[in-house]
Amino acid sequence: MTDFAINTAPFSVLVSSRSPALRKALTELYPPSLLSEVDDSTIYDFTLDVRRRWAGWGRPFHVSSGQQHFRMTDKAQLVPVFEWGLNWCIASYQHQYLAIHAAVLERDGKALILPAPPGSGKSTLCAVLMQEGWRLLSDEMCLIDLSNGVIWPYVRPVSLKNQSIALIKQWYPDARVRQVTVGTTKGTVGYLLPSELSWQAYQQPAKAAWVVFPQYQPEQTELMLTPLPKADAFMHLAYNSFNYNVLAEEGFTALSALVQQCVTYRLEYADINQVIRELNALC
Amino acid sequence: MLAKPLLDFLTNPSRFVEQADGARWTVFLQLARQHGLTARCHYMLQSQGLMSQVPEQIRRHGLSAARYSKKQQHSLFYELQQLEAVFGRADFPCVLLKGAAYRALALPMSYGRLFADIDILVPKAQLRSARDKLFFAGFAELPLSDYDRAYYLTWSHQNPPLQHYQRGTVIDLHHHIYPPASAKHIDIQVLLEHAVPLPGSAFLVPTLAHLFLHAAVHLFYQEETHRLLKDIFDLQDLLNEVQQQQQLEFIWQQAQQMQVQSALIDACQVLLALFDNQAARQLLTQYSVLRRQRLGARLVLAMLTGSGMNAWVARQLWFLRGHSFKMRWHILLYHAVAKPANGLRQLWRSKLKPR
Repeated sequence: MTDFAINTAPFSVLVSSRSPALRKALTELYPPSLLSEVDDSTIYDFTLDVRRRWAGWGRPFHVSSGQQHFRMTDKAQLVPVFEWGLNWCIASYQHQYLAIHAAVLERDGKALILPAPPGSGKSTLCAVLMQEGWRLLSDEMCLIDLSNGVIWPYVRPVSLKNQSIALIKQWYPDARVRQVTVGTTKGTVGYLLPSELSWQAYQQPAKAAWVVFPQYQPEQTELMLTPLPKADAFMHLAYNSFNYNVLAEEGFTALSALVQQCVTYRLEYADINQVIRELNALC
Repeated sequence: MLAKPLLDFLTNPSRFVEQADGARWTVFLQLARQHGLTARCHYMLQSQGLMSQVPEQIRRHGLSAARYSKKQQHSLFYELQQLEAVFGRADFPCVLLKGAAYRALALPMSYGRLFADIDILVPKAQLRSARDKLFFAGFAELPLSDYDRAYYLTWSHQNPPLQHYQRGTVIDLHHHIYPPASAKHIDIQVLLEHAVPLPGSAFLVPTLAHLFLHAAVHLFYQEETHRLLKDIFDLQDLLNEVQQQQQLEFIWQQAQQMQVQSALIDACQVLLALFDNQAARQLLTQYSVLRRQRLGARLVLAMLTGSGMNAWVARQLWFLRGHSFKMRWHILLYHAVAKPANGLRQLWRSKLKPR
C-alpha cells in the first residue's frame, strides 16, 4: 500500500493506492513540497481510494471515497479520473464557501472572475492569462468566503482539453503541459502546470474586482466587451454556482456583495491577442 | 468493523474529542459523510458544548454539512406546505412517517438530518384515492415495467414512488409499514387510531411510541446494513423521547398489539449494550428480558463492534435472517422464476420476434 497525501489548500486529500504509477504521475503535476507521506497528526479533508480489483477485462482501477464508488478506469486514464474524482469529492461538501463554476486569476491583489459553462473557452483563456503573468487561483472553482467575501485559491493543475492543448503549446512553447491522455470521456485531456507564482501564493486570498463572462465566437472579427447590468451579472453568477441554492440567504448576501464590488462585463472574442490586450487595459 | 470510529464518536463524543488525533479525525470525516451523519454530529458537538475543543477544520466541515441539512429542512417544510392543500379535504387519515414526522414534531433528532423522500401512510382502502389526489397535484409514478409495478402493488407495502414533475420531490405513499406478503403480520390499526393531528395541518403524526416501533421494525425485520449506524442512532434518540413523554408502558403494550415485541426487545438490547440507554434497561428489566440477548440484537452488535471474521459472519446471517422475514420462500421462488421469464418475454416481443 502506498498511501500519500496532497496538501493543497483549502482542501487536502489522503490517497490510498496500490499503484505506484499514480503517485509517480502526480509528482509531475504537483510540487514536491505539497506531495507527502501521510502524517498521523494531520487532518485530511478528503480520502480517495484507488484500488486494483478485478471487474471484467480492461478497467482494473476503482476510484472511490470510502464506500462511495466514483468510477472505474484503465491505467492509461488513471490521472484524469483521479483528478475528476477529487473534484467529485469536493463538489458536495464545500458549503463553507459560495462556489461558482469559474476561473479566477489575480493581479495586484485584485481578482478577475471568469464564470462560464463548459465550451466557452474559459480554461484556455485562463491558461493564457496565467502564462501572461496573472496569478492562478483556480481554473474551475471560485470559492467565495461567506464571512468576508474574499476569494480563496484552490490551486490545481489546469485541465486543458482537445485543441486547446495544441494552441497553448503553440502560443507558449515553454508552457508545461503534462500527462496528456487521449480517449477519455472528455476527449484528449492534458494538465498545464500552474506558474511558480501561483503555487507560492496557494494560500493567499484575493479581493474580487472584475467579473467577465467570456464567450468564444469563431466568426467574430472584432472583440466585444460589453458592460453587463449588475442584476444580470448576479443571475448569471447564481446560475453558474454549484451551491447558491443550498446557501439560501447567506448565498444571496455574499453574491450581492460580490456583484456590488465588481465591474461586470460580457466578453465575446475570437482572437486571443485582442483579449490579452483588452484585459490588460481593463484590469 | 469499519465504522468503529464513528460509533465511538456517537457513544461518547467528549471522550472522542479528547483523544482523537489527525488520523482519527480524518477517518471520522470520511465515515460521517458516508453515513450522512456529519451535520448531526455537528449539532451534537454544539449541544454538548464541545465545539471549542474541536479542530477548526472539523468545525468548518460540520458547518458546511449543517448548511446543507438546513437547506433540506427548508425544502421539506416547503413540500409539506404544498401537500397541505392536496390533503386538506381528505376524509381519511394521512399520517406522516419517519423523517417527515420527526421534522413536523421538531424533535431534536431532526436537526442535521438528511431527507431523501417524504413518507406518508394512508389506510389501504384509500390508497387509490390518495394517489389520485397526488396525481392531480403533479406527482406521477416513475417509469416502471408492468411487472415491477404489479410487484409493488401486490407484494409491497407502498405505491411505487411518486415524483413531482417539476420539483423532483419523491413521495413514498404507504398503506402499511411492512410488506403484508411477508412472514410477519403486523397490525397497524393501533398506529392509525392513536395518530395525533398536527395543529393547523391536514396531517397526523404517530405517537412517539409508534414512531419508535416503526423504526425498530424497519431496522430489525430486513437484511440491509448500509444505514445501520444511522438507524440505530435514530432509535437511541427516539427512545429517549419516548421516555421523556412517559410512553414506556404504552410502547410495550402497543408492541404486543402490533405483534412487534421482538423488534422492540432487539432494539432495546442493542441500545443498552451500545449507549447504556436507561429507558432500554428499564423496559428490559420490567419485562424480564434483560438477560438473554436475542439473535437480532447479537447480530447487530457483532456487525458494529465485532472483529473482522465475526462481523463478516454476522452480516451473512443478518442477510439470511432479514430475507426470511421479508419474503417467504415460495414467494421468493416465484419471483426468482417469474422476473427473468418476464424479461425474456419482453425481449422476445421487442427485439427477436420476426415481424
